[in-house]
Parts: sequence; structure tokens; C-alpha cells
Amino acid sequence: MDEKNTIWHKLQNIPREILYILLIISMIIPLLYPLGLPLPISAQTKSLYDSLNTLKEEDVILQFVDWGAGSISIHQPGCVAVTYQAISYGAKFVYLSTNTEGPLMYERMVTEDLQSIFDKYGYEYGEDYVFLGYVAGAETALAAIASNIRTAYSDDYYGTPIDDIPLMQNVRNYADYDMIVTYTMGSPESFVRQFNTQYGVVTHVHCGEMMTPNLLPFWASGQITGLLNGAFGAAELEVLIKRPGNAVKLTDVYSFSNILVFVFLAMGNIGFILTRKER
Amino acid sequence: MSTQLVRRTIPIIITFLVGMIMIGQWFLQVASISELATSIQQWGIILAAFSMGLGSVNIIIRNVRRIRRREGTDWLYAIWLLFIFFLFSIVGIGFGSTSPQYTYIFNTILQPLSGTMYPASLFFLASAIYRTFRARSSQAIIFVIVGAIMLLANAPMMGAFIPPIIPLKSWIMDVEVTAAYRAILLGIGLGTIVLGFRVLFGLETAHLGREEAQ
Repeated sequence: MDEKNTIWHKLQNIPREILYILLIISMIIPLLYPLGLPLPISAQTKSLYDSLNTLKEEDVILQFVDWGAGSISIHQPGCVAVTYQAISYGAKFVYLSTNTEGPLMYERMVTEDLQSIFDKYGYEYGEDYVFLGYVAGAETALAAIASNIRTAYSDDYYGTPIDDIPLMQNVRNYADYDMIVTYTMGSPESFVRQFNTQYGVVTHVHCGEMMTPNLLPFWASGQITGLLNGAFGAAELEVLIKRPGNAVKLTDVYSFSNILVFVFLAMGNIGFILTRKER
Repeated sequence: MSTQLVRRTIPIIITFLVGMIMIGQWFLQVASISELATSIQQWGIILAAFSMGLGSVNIIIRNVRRIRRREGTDWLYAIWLLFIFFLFSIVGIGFGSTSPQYTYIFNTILQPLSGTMYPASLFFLASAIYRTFRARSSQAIIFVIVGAIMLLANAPMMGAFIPPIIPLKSWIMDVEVTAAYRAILLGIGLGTIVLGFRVLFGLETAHLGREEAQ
């Protein structure tokens, strides 16, 4: 047998097409046949859940719809789960966005999920929740929202002057925000700086998985109270509020695909170690 | 007025004054300074919105130039970019960004494309992990082991079969990763303070957009 054509060499050079096909299969099977395995709850998600359970009637939550079309499957379930839990305590919601795609993401979320929840609890637009739309300016806009929301918005997304919206009568600045939640694939440190560090507003973040390591120091220091780690965080929150949804369905996909990548990683390294003497 | 005064001195004075007002607003509880700071924040939001319009004009100019000159082999993409740009602009301005027409083109063009880009990276990542994560040295062995633990710990199925992997992952994230990132964040914070002072005192002039200003 050719010395370079042993099984150990082949293990290191499996064509990527095979890996791709196996990955696709590993994603489709759990979607067709969900396993429903138990999901361990992280301390970061539990913090957010506990914080939501401290809400009182009429408390105001600012929810930043800052995700784009690329992360709908991650952030929409998270935002729906937060809203579902908070609404059961009678909290009010101000939705807004610093991402140009935010308004369309909000409308999609309302159509698909939130409207039925609002209807169930008798929530009325303008009285109990409002959407202010997109504001440009990134961190400058956040600073303005924290110090006086009327400097950033003069009307809501649908053109109603902010002073004519009943919910906004008593919502002016950081003192009126009981908590903020931002859902983003980007960098949410600016929310921490402008809302928590400056004014001590309870700040929750639902980020993409790759951002979680960056944010753990903020969570450990208490500057971020609750931290949802991508689709896992959303799934954990769905489990905690006893309303499993789309995020929970995705966790089986993660299981299969992660284990497949692990198997390939192990095979590549076994082959590498067993052929080391040849080098 | 000399060029030096207009291009360098006046912008540096404006930067210094604006910076001091914003710092003063936080440290001094003076109503007039707070009002001034609020106005500056509003200007910032307006300028950001204006810069988006300016960026749009820049996109048009650059891509029209590329099409005219037939630059490179990808000038056809410039035509496609401008077509989509004007399609969204015309529908958005003509019917409104809340209209069914705008929602339709967003849902059928941008959403599927954006939704594809992010998950597509999974395939490249999986392939990269398989090909590059090799136990070549002692550091690489640590890299491979930690990577393998994180892969398995992020699979809820493995958490059910090998429960100790969950506290192990938590330890890596809460102790090792947090400690490393905290050091990085402190470094960034100190660097930002130093850079802020350099900008305020005119020692750093890159924000003026001209290297010769330094």
C-alpha cells in the first residue's frame, strides 16, 4: 500500500463536500424528528429571567430591535420570550431601533408572534406598547435616548407625535426606564456605557454567540444583568418561561451539527498523530 | 484667513470645546451646559442621518464611474448594485417603508440573502476547524482540547450524556475567557482615555481627515 494513502492519511483529507453534505443532513434530521433533550440553563440566562420576574405593573422596558434579517432565528424568539414574560407582570414596552433593518424586523415579529400575545393580554398600541422606529447616530443617539428620548424621536414610526402617545406621557429619560434589552449581532458595549454605567439602568443583552466572550466581563461585573447567548440563550429563556418555541427547536440542530464537527476534528487529529512519525 | 487656521486650528478648537462641554455635562450639574450638550447630541443625530444620505450619493458616484470605465471584471456587479439601490429607494420613497410593496421586496430579496450569508459561514467554519485544528505543538494541543470541549458543551445532547462537560464549559467561560477579555477591555479603556485626551488637545488629528494636518 502506498505510504501516503493509508486510512490515517485519508482521515486528514476528507473532501469538504462530504463534510458539507453530512452537515446538511445533520441539520435536516433533527428538524424533522426533534429529540426534545433537556437543555441546561446558564447563569446568564437565569439572571435575565430573575430580573424579568421583578417587574411590576406599569414598569417600562425599552427593547432595541437591532437585529437584521441574518439573525431572525436567533433574536426574534428571544425578544418574543422577553415580551411574553414581562407582559405577564403588566410591563409596558417601548420598541425602537438603531439598525436600519429594525423597523422591518419589528413588523415581522409583531405579525408572526407578538400580536397574538398583545391580543391575549388586551394590550393596545400607544397605550401599552409603542414602536418609535429607527434613529441614526449610533452611540450619540443612545446618549440622547438615555438623557431625553424626545431629542432623538419627535414621533413614532407611524408618524404620530410622541407627545400625543399616551404611553409616552410619562416616558422621558433614564429615570423612567425600568430596564432596557438590546438584541444585536453587533457590539452592545455602547448600551452598557450609556444606560448602565451613566445612569444605572438595568441592562440586558441578547447577542450573537461570537460576542458572548466579549460581554462576560460586563456580566460578571453586574453592568449587564442578563445575557442571552445567541440561539441557546433564547432557547433557555423559552424553557424557563415554559413556552418552548422556535429557538428550542434549533437546539437539536446545534447538537447534531456540533457533534459532527467534533467527530471530524477528532478524526483529523487521530490521523495527524498516527502519521507524525513520517514527518 | 490662512489655510492652517481654517484646516487645522479652528477644527481643533471646535473639537476641544465640544469635548469639554460633553465632559462638563457629566461632571458639572449646570443647567446651561446640560442644554448645550443636549443640543450637540441632537446635531450628532442629524449629522449621522445626513451622512447616510451623503454615503448614498457617494455609492452612486463611485459605481457610475466604475461602470463608465469598465473597471476590473466585476463592473457588472456595480450595475446590479445600482439597480437594487434605486429599486429600494424608489419603492421606499414612492410607497413608504411600511407599505406592502416595500415589505414584499424586502422579504423576497434582502431577507433571504441576509439569512443565507450568516448560516453559510457555518460550512466554511466547519471545514476550517477540520483542516486547521491539528495538535502540532503543545499550544495547539490546548487549543484543540478547549475547542473540542466547547463544541461538545454547546451540543445539549452531550450535556445530557456527559453532565460534567457543562460545569467545565462554564469554568472556561467564566474564569479563563472572562479574565482574558477583562484584561483586553481594560487595555482598550485606558487606550481610549489617552486617545480622547490626544484628540481634545489637538495631538491626534486623524479625525480631520488629512494626514498632513499632523
